[in-house]
Amino acid sequence: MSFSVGVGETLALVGESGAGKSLTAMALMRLHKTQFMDVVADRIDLQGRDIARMNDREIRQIRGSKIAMIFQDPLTALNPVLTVERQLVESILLHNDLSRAGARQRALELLDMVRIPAAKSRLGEYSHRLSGGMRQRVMIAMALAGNPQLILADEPTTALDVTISAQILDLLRELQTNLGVGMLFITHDLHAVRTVAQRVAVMYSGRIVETGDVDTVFTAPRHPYTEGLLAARPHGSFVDGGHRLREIPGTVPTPSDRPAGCAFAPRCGHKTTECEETLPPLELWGKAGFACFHPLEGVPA
Amino acid sequence: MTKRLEISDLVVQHKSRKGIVHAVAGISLEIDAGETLGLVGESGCGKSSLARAVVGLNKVTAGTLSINGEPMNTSRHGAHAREIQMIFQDPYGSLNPRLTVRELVEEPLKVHRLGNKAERAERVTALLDRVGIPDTLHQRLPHQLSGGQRQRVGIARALALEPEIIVCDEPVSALDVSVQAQVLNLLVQLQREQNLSYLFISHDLEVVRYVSNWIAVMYLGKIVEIGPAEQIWKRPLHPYTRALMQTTDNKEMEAGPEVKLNSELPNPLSPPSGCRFRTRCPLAIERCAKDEPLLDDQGSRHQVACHRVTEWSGDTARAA
Ligand SMILES: Nc1ncnc2c1ncn2[C@@H]1O[C@H](COP(=O)(O)OP(=O)(O)OP(=O)(O)O)[C@@H](O)[C@H]1O
Ligand code: SF4
Ligand SMILES: [Mg+2]
Repeated sequence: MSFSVGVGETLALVGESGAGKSLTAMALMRLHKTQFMDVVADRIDLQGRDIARMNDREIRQIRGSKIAMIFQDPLTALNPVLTVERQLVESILLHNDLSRAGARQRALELLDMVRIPAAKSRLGEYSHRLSGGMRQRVMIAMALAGNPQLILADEPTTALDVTISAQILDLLRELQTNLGVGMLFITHDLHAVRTVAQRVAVMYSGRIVETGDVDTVFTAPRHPYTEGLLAARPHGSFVDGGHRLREIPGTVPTPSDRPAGCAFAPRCGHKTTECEETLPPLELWGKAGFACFHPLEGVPA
Repeated sequence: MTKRLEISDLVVQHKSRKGIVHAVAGISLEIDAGETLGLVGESGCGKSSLARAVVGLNKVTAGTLSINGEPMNTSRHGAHAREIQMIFQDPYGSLNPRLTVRELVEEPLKVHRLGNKAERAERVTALLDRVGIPDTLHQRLPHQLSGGQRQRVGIARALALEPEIIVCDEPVSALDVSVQAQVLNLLVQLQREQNLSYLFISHDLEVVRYVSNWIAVMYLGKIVEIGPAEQIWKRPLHPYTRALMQTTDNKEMEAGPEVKLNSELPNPLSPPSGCRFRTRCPLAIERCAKDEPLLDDQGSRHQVACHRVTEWSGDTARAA
């Protein structure tokens, strides 16, 4: 599997549970040792460098400096016994050539940048005392400490309320424009994809089944899974009009019962014997493409 | 006409070490037979506290509840189990992990001494069939099921006593989109067949719009807006509701003013004076800190609690 994220661009990796989204991110950061992945980006040219062979120090430098990560639950990523200031200053010092005072100044700037009100008064707080939204902002500030070129955001808004999630999505969009950071945004939330991403890759059972720019993929999906996923979301009122939602029968296969051919075949209305026997390859035209023997027309409905 | 469910001036308090939270601070709602009232609001606004009080899982501090005009006995948990049931977000937490699927669905029938063994077995088979659980899963334990299957078992259990009202607290939030559609279709179908009334709680506004006849918007223990679902969707009048709607793909929100919420829910232990929303409201004026706005009818049974609703709902609507 490979994909590229350009400068100031967001690629959303979308899929349901069991799709392998987080595994992809982990592999990228080599938190998961056995997998190997290429990140191709205009500026973070990691292509050709074997991440799998780098030693831990080199990896640590990449992680946090070239690539930084934001998790769904910042509490697990933030240290509960250190204040916001301590943690932020430490990561700034790790990645920048600054004095402690300079780092402290930079910490304040970062907290301002992630729109934490009264940033100064927050420096002494412990992460568990902060609200979910504030914690996520601190997490983003930490991610920015090493001036990364790529941010991996793994379900960063899933645990948050809609109103707070909207604020965080706004913030991420802003950082993308102002700082030119590329972002790989992992989510199951189709609305979040529309809000922050320019390009999308739809994952199903460990593979990318469709990719392209968000508008095209969402208005004229080619893969039956993408189409099914979009149609399964409610778009109106049952009470006032009475349409049933389009179901995708069955569930995502577990890695152990993944079929030989197309993983989506058991749930697909278009399948033939070919689909059951052969794995459809991801065919790309430029940066768009799909992995399906019987793609949909691709014209907006 | 009497209502299937009537909630009047409900107050639910939680005592904790830090003080008393008025999780539900005087709420009145009603639901007709065969209809759904959707309840939305941010985490911690008191939705579950209300839901749990209605089914007797939380103590009712004040207020009255009635089913078909008959006052409910709120002091004894389970007193109305045959009339009102609940479906939870995480059926895992509510299903005994040591019982098989069949035993789980039979349990409420046993507790209420309904039918003999053979009759119960027949009823369990019919219920599981109705919710789409195949025979091959009948002897499984909860942890051997997928999330969607567990939720179906939760629904079968809730249906076992043939209640008239089901309180659904985030019934699809933990499920994948493709499975959500399956469970939502089942719920609306069952409602049609059995003329069920639902109190449907979700933070997903599109889901709530899909299932509801009425939508109520809750903020820090109070209802700030309530009305026919399509009206709330197309023309929300409370600034908070508008802010919520703007977080969705609601096309109606593309025109008109934008309401951005810049802060977070205030501490529920000490809610703001006057209008509880004022600390986040871009329209707040001095009066909002002094007087509490009450729900006021704006026509077609669309009620809003905001001092500035008339200025705001007019053609010249604009954010301050
Ligand atoms: N058992 C309890 N003891 C003390 N406080 C409680 C208890 N249950 C709820 N609360 C408090 O009551 C308020 C309302 O909580 P409730 O669970 O009803 O909210 P909710 O709207 O269901 O939130 P969510 O969307 O997160 O489920 C919150 O401030 C919560 O912390
Ligand atoms: S009453 Fe005032 S503070 Fe409350 S919603 Fe209306 S304008 Fe905002
Ligand atoms: Mg709740």
